[in-house]
Amino acid sequence: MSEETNFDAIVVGSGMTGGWAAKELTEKGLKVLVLEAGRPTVPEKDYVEHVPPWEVKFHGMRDRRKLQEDQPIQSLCYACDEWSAKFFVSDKENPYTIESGKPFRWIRGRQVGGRSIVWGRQTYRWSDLDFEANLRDGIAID
Amino acid sequence: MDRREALQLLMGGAALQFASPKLLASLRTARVLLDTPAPLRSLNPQQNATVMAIAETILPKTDTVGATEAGTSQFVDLILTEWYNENERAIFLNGLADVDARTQSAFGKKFVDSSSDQRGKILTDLGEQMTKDALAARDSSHGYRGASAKPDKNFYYMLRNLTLTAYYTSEVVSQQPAFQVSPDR
Repeated sequence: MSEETNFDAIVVGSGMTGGWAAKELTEKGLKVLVLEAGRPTVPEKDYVEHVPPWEVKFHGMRDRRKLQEDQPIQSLCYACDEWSAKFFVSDKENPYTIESGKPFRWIRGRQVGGRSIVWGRQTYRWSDLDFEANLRDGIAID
Repeated sequence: MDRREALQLLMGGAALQFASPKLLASLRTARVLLDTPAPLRSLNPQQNATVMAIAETILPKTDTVGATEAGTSQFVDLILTEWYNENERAIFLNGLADVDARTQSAFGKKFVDSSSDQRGKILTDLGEQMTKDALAARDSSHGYRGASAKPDKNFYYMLRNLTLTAYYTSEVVSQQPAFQVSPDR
């Protein structure tokens, strides 16, 4: 293998977790490769939250018919608004199945930065209980 | 944007269906500059005049702009055409007709021809019905994330909602001296 294809670590996905892992590993001096399936993010072009409401078609009321057609699940997330809908996947192109009685809203981003692009800028301190919440609800093992 | 740029933009109408929101916004600005508002697609001229009269009664022009100047009827037309479903569209247009029917039976004329006191009376009646519908909706179901359900099948609620949205998201209102996104401390 050539030097270019030799890495100490390969991080799959450049979202909040992958991005953080890559940062920590590179800071420790490792040679890291980050793989991202989504499209590149160009901040000066793609970041649109400063765009005033009169410059988006429905003035912030969302493109309702398009969302119903293409993003019926993603648009259940409050942040999938008229500005940020492009940072959420197409449900048509990314279908998934769930077990009966076990609903799951799979809210996904598919671009460099993943869902960190649309996170709510709020971080709460977690308790021990939070780390066991799913088990207490009878879902998965820990 | 000057007049020449505005004309050039409007010439490119064929590309409209592929236009970005940014370009669409530029086109709206261009039409304002040329004084040719976008043609209405759902409202007929009579309905449009009634929408404007109601909206202007809710948010009249004073020393700041009124709802008409803020483009409320164009926004209502857009929502009727590309946002509401068939049922909502029917509720809205029937509600609009009902406004004229009420004004006709109370004052013997159309809403647009009635005085501001008469308009106020009609809208007060509609507001009372809206409040009843709002209380019924609140008691019967839950809205988004546990919020109270809204009377979103009530014509007057729909129109008020669109009027306020159109007004407070319009560029011209944001330029009013009295409009402050962050009030002075």
